[in-house]
Amino acid sequence: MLKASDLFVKSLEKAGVKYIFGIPGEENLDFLDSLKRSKIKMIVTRHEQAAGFMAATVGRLTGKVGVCLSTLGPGATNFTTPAAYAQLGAMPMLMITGQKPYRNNMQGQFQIVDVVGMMKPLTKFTKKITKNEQISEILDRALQLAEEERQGPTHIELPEDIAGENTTSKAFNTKSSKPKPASKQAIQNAIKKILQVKTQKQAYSEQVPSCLSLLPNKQSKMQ
Amino acid sequence: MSKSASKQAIQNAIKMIKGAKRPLILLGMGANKNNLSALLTAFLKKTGIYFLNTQMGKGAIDERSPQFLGTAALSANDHVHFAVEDSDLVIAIGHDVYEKPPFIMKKNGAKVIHINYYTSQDPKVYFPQLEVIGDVQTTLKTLTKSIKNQANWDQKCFKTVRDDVMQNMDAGSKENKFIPQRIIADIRKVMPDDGIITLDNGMYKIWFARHYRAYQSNTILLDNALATMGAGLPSAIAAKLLYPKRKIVAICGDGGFMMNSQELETAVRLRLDILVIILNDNAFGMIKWKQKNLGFKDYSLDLGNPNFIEYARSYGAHGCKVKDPNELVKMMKKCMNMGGVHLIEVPIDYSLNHIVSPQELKSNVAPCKINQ
Ligand SMILES: Cc1ncc(C[n+]2csc(CCOP(=O)(O)OP(=O)(O)O)c2C)c(N)n1
Repeated sequence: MLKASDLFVKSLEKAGVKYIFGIPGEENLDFLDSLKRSKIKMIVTRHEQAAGFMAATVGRLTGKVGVCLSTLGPGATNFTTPAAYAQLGAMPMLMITGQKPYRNNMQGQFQIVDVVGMMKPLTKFTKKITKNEQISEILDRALQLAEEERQGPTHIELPEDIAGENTTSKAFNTKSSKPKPASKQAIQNAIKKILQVKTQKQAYSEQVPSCLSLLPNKQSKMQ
Repeated sequence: MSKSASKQAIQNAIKMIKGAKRPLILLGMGANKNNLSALLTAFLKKTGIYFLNTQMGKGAIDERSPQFLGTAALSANDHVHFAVEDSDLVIAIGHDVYEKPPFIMKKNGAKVIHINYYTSQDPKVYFPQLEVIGDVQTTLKTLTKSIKNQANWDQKCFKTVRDDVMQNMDAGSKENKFIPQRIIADIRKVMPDDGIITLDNGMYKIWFARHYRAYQSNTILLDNALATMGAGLPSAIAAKLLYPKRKIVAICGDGGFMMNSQELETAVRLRLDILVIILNDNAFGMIKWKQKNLGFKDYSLDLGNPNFIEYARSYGAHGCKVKDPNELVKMMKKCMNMGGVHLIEVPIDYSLNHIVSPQELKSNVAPCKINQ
């Protein structure tokens, strides 16, 4: 089994993300742990606004999405200015913010702000993940929309309970380009197979992320 | 990948450009994306058309080009605008109405062809007569193939405007004062061709847009869309992470720098080689300037500041203050060769801001007889 945050990070890795800028909060700890075991470098800043500007600048200079991370409420509100910066400047950027547990939150309304709502006018796409099975699809969409002209910011909210769950989904292999329709032949083959295999339980192979290198990134001088 | 623009739209553009008398090229922020530089340069060379750019379009074509007319840092009345007034067709490539208008379109003024990946319009300031929407690379290739310099084009006035702009661009660059023109000339001298300066927002941004010649795409990163303060240092850090071998200098006002100055710690922790230049006027200079222009009394915009040198040092960065204009080049070289995080404070002299104030700009005289 793969942890949902591992799946998320693995997918970002596959999309070519090299840096994530931000300030984690307790709601991001699973995600942070997944980052630790990935090739992506976490650049911790001293203010989320600065992290957002950095992510937007990565998008601006590379044409590929720049990514930033924050906790819920207070961290997420600090992303509003960089969101506007990326929106008006047409810079591809993905903001990932944490949230209290989706299912069983025992902290009342503590720190809760409608971040998805707040991001609506500032982004091309903003979405809360409520099931781990949605991660690939939502992430793919967020990356694609950010990089599609007119480029701009997108936002995903990842609640802490979902981040920590195990998932049977697989990391998608995005180049964040628009998926092409499958060929007719492939569809025909698929139909054949489905008809052949009447009741075969889908055996999800346990997909352990490959090369979860613990080696320090060579480019960096941080170590 | 974006789809190509329709053949019809491209053909219409070719017809309009060939039939125009005084076409101009305007490069907007999109010109700095998707590796367009080489294609833009080829189009420029083949046609011989003069060009201007927006603040965010700087560098997409080398500004040392003899066809460069300057940057429209303001929306009207600057020297470069005489060229726009003389023109009957502006070929706008990559412009986006989120940028501060590089000029205001007039109903009876120059027509505009909008070339970009997407549409962009504003009923009051930018309403192109023709849009060529789609993959800009393909559009540029076709235009370059189909258009050469036309005998019916009259570029006399543009040539005169260019001479005028170039003279202004270099005026003051050798004066022994901390005026923007001198500081900018010195920074340009030290920056390698591919070195990147990242600006914050403030009065000096207008000066840099007008006087700093960008040689390569995305070598002057500034924000003239949201035009927020505080992005100068963070964007320098991001640029350095992406391009560890290139020289990166953040240039901030004292106001903008203090909005995200805590990121000095991030730069030190990441052991980046970054130079931060603070142009200090102990004020929110741009707002002070606008306050004065609009006839308001001087009020509330002067600031106190930390001792920037000690402030930088407290983060483990190096800090120094330039006391004589002749020191800046030397100091910059020293800091950049040494590596690490450096801060140089420059006491900027804003006594010449009146040059770019609307009242004074209006009194500029056209260097040639405008054709309209
Ligand atoms: C976040 C933000 N707040 C306020 C402004 C309005 N504003 C534009 S320029 C400026 C002053 C900038 O002062 P400084 O950084 O010292 O540069 P200077 O104008 O003195 O060169 C202000 C307050 C803004 N653009 N962004």
